[in-house]
Amino acid sequence: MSYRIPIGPYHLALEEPYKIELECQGETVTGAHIKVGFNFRGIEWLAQRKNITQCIALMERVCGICSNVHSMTFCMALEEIGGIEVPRRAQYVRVMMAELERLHSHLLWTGVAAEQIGFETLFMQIFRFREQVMNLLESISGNRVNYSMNRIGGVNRDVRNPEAIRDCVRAVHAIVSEKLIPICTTDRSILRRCTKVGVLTMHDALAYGAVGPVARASGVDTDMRRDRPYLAYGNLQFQVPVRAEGDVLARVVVRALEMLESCKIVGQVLDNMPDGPLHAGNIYSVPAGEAVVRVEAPRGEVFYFVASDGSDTPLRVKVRTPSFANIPTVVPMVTGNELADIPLVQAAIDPCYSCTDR
Amino acid sequence: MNSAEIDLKEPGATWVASSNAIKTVVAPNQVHAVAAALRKHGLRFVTIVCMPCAVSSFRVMWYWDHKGVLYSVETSVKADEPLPTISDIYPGADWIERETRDYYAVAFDGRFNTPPLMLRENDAPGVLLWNSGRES
Repeated sequence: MSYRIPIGPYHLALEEPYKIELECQGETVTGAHIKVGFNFRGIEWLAQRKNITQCIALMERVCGICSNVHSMTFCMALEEIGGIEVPRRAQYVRVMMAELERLHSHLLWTGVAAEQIGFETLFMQIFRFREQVMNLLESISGNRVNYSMNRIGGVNRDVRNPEAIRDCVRAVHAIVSEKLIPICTTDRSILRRCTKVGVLTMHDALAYGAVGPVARASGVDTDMRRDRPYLAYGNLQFQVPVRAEGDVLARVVVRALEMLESCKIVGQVLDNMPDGPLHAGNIYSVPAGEAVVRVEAPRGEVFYFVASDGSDTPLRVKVRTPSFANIPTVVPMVTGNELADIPLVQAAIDPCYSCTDR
Repeated sequence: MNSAEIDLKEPGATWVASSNAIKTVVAPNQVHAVAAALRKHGLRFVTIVCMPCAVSSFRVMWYWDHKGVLYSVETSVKADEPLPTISDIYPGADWIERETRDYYAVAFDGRFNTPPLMLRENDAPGVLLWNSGRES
């Protein structure tokens, strides 16, 4: 018997609204239709009506998890248009914030996935460690969510507690390598819930334009930090984990391995951070021009197109977030799967509906 | 040509390398063929950027990625002219085509329909064409 199940826009598992209608044949999903736009805030429209300083705060509100990466990418686009050189110390501080944000985002996701699987203890343990990263971000920036670290030409605050950062990152590295990865790759219930579930082939990943851990777990070897190094990434050593399986387990493993790489990157940043200024002065406008900047956010490549007419208000700001690219891949992922696996498959792409809707 | 660049010989498309992208400017009716060729080369679709460029005209840029190299295909159309869809080649283009219609009220030729993505069913498209709050 075939039937259609509407799920959403309000969910038990997800804090953000979106809707998916599943077409089912018995317990098997045969198709899906996704509806987004419930969080539409018209941020691109607003950006054309605010000056660039206000836009930094606006862009930070595209996403509540990877807020730093949006203000940073916006500033990088303006810096490219204006030919503004960011001081080296500021580049290292930006890298550190980006990697701590990745740690916090991946820990958040792993906790949510553990809860979806039904592994409550793991969820609570992971969130305990995520809290340490959040405390660290708060100690650096003064904020737990919107950090206000970025300005055009640099950063607003310095890193004053390198040893605390080192200790925290060491603890996260230990829990991920000694506990999380062994549990995720050997625990029978996790393996049964995640192996060969929600498969996205490499062919579909490319056709749908998947990015970040979702693409890398389907064999697409892409990472802007390595492929198109920006800030200080060209001076840092790190690996880009890639898996070919394309299932939920591959996405779990890729993110876990990425956390280890982020810990390595933060360690290198602390070891090599140069002295010097934090910014290039007060900049309130840039000359006419346009720039495309792509940055590797926790969920994947963020794309910003910014055009300026030389005034203090952007002519156009286009934001393509990673979730905007990844959420449509849920359709090929869920097709052919059991209905009971759908919440986990959806969660496995680490969707953010606020940044999708902007 | 480095390893990230591909050998593109699409008819009518002249590719030029700039500091951060490899670009071509084509007529609207060439976009579909270029997209098909890029698909054959295994490029990842990134997004579409649309912006007004003159009175009742739009500049439209399609972007692809290959090993970190950005490929850009640009065209310009009058506001009442439809753009070609590439969602039959790249299903990932479906959402951004629908969003572009929401923002600029442009039509995409070759689609079965173009339902709103961010707007509700009966909302008038063209959100980014509203002039309120901007002087020029």
